[in-house]
Amino acid sequence: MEILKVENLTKIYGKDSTEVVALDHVSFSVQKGEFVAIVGASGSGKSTLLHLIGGVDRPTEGKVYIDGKDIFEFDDDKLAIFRRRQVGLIYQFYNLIPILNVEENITLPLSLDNREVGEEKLNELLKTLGMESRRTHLPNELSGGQQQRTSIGRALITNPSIILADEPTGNLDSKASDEIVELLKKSNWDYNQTIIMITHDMEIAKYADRILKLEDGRIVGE
Amino acid sequence: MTLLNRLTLKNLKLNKKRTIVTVIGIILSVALLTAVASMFFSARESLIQFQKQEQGNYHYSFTSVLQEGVQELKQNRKIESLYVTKTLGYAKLDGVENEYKPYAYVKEFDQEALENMSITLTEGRLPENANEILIPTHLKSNGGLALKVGETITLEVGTRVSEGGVLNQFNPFNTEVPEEIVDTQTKTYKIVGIMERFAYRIENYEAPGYTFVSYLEDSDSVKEADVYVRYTKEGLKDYLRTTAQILEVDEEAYVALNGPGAAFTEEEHAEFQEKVGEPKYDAVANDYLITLESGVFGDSTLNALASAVVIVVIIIIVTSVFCIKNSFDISITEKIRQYGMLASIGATKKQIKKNVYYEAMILGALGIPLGILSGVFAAFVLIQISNLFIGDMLDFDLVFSFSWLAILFAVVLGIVTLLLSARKSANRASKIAPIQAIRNSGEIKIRAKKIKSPKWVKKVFGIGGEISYKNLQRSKKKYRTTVVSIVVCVSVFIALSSFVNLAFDTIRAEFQGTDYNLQLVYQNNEEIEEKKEEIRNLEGVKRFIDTAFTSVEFEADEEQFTDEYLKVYPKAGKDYKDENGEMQKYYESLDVRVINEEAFQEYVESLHLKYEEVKEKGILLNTVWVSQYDEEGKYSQIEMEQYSMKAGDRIKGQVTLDYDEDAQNATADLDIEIAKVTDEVPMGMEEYRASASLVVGGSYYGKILNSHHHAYIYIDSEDAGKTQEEIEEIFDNMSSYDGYYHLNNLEENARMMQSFYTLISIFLYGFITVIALIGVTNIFNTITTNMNLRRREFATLKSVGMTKKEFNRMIQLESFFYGMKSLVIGIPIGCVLSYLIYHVLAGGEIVIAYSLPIAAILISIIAVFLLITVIMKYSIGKINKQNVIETIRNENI
Repeated sequence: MEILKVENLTKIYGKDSTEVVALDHVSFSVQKGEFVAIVGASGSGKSTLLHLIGGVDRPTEGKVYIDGKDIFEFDDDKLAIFRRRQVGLIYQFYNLIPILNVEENITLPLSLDNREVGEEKLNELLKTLGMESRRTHLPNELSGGQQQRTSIGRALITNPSIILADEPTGNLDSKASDEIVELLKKSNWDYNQTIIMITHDMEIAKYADRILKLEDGRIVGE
Repeated sequence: MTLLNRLTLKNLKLNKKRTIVTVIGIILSVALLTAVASMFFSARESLIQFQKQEQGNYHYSFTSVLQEGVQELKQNRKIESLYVTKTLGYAKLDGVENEYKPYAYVKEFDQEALENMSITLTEGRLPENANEILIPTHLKSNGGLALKVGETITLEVGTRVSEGGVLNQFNPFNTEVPEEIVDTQTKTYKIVGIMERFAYRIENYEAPGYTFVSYLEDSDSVKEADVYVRYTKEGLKDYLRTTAQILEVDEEAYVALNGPGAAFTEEEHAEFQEKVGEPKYDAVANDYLITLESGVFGDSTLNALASAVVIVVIIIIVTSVFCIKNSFDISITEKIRQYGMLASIGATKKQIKKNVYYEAMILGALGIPLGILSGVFAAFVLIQISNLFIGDMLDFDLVFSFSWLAILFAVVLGIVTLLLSARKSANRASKIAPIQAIRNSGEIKIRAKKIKSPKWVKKVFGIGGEISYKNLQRSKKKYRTTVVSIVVCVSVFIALSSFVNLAFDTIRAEFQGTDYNLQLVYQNNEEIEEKKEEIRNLEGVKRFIDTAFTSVEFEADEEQFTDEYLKVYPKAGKDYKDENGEMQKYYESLDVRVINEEAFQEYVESLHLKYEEVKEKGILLNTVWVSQYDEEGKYSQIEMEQYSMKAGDRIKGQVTLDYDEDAQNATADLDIEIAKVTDEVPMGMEEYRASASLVVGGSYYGKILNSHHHAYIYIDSEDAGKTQEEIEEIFDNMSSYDGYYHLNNLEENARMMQSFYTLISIFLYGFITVIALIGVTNIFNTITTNMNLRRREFATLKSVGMTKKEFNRMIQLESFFYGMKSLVIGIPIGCVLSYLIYHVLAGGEIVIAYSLPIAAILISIIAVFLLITVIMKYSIGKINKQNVIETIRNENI
């Protein structure tokens, strides 16, 4: 089943002389349950691609279908709501809310949706993340790996159609990096979770089922 | 310019808005300092001007200086200017009625003296040659001799001698000792002007001669002159020594003798006197002008003003430091990474510190000059406004004085304020550890326990509410400055406004409580008796009542008092034992008011009595307000009836006839029937009395009052000002009236009080507004920066799917929460302050009840929420414009 379809996606920053083509008519599709890694040098357009898929930015041209829906048909508010239900985002710098504790950070998307948090599900998730003993800690009381695990938890809690991870290991040492990728892999297996991960680290990319190589805004190989 | 400094400049430019707002804060604070200092120096200058105008523009006068001496003084380097006057002598004036002041005292002034010796012309011009003369106004008002401008007078001017000695203005005229004027010369003068009486240093109150002033044509040919001198700054600094040098006496002894603060025994005094020796001339100091001009805080008025200035300045500096410090703090926090980076590449602590001070310097260089300009301007405007409102209350105009000292004062304090503000930030910046700074981890130190929000917050306001609530707790320290700023402004505003309201209410209550607008206090005599009718018939006089006071003593027993009254005064009506153990009868003393027949008739008719029937009877005002302290010492006033007497009862007693020169303490009998007991008072009588009064009609004038009684006339006039002038004229024309009189124009009083309080409120509100504005710059900086610092957090929230609406709601809630917090603290403090003010000002009086300053509270609430909302909206607008991704990315670099 096709969960993500990218069609002719183009993003141009700036105008005229300062024009930068970040993405140049990129097309591909991802099946449900796939773990895709996108690799490329910096400036190859991989982050732009991820942000467009996540709906936090709008393309110059082209379309993104998630679960068969053209996400750019939505207005900003609808897109935001779509995002909190269907997309999980993981950043290099975790981007946790400093005043909310681990549990609250994880359940944030549900809270925004005014949805009840299933206690069982939360416990299971915390267990999976290995964060059971830290559930009431604030982000600044955690190590980098723990913070990233929290942000993975935040991405997983809504059972999103797709998880987008932007250099999730970029800020971590190799041990923590391995743990994080293992975690992603595990969620991919256990929950049949679709994951798209950006990385420049080929070792990390090898965990993925499929590797897309991006160069100058174009896919140059699988 | 070093690289570091260039970096600072760039940063300031980058954060243009915050730089501007901080500079505005500095401008406001320096402007306040300048305005306060300028006002102070202007007040000082005004007092100096007033003194010059009243007493003359000189520091010392020396009498009987020979020409040689005049030349010497002219050469003296410590003397700035000198005016020569010559005394021609005394001339007997014909037609003067004042027996103690029979002379003209003729002086000649040179041009400088005419200009500087406080001559205030009421008519005509200054003399231009030795045949022209000025006469004083009191020649007519005090001496009864009316001479007109243009008339010619001939005076036999000579030396006043008595028993062989020469007399001057300091020797009063003594009717017992014969004196004469010798060596006379005949002088004919044309009167060219009339001037006001000289101040007492020049013509003292007992001086026997009216000072006439003519023109001194050639000051160099005067043999013996009275010289008035102004010292130079140098000479004034040590004016006693300067004077001692001129007088050629022992300096040390002279200073010791005349200096301030020295207390002597008589022997010591004599000893010093001897040491000083014989002075060359008689010297008189214009001491008030000297104190004013020689020291900044020389005199007591200025001292009082100076202490007020000190308090105000402290308030300004504390507020400003508090606010400006905060913006440095913010700036440093934002640049923490930059400083860490600089430290990591080898910038020393000193360099970083210097860099922060450099930033302060740049801000100061922008803010201080502008602040001074606006402060000087504000002071100028305030002085004009003051003159507008209280010009006719003061005897003199306030003048604006541009003072370098005031500016220096403001600059120094402005710099001190800035340094104090920057100091902590500079220390903090220099202590930043490179790595910690780059990772920016030192800034957020929070513990989970500390951040808790009650369950209801989430229930009511959703997750947005919870986040904003928690945020307040997180940035407690940052928001504390904001909250404290608001609390201070709100509470001071509430307190001040209730002070102002109370002031105005008091005037209103005082003025509304009266049904007359002119009050004439006088001592009766035959001549006034005749004039009363004239006053009564003046145009515009609607009601007129003439009231005189006396009291009647009568034997009273307990039954004549009410039980209530006896409870408070148990001794009333009981016979008592005197110190010899003999029983004495109790005598009650009752106030009696005699009012003129016409007013009495009007009064009894207003009580529905027939005038013809009660003409000879009295009206008893029996309601009294009795003060008492309860067991706890609490003060209260109770309204009650004093006597149990009723209409038809008689009062039989004796009235003491005071002020009767022929028969001291003579008494008259009074036997009078009470026509009515009431609490309606005739015009002019206060409603609140501590004891009862009996009102009787004019037929009692001769019976219980002698002709020289003291009395009050109350007038209700359509045009109080005009009637006042007319009454004053009537009294002025009563040449032989030897009693006193005093006329109060209540409308005028109320109007003056009103303008005085208006002025005060302009000052107070102006001050609090500027202080509030300084606070606003602080609040603005805090909020916008806080928003800015949380950009990434906001971006995250958006990226996990928070809609714009939810986001805006969250921010609004945040503003609501701490607006509430500030008000919840500020309003009660303000109310307490306002009650304290009420208590101090109106303590114990029953006229005005305390009321909560509701208007001020409402204004505060609206203003606070408006302010916070506007600032928040502004910051949200900026954040909403930012691209989520760009934000997250930028921060990741």
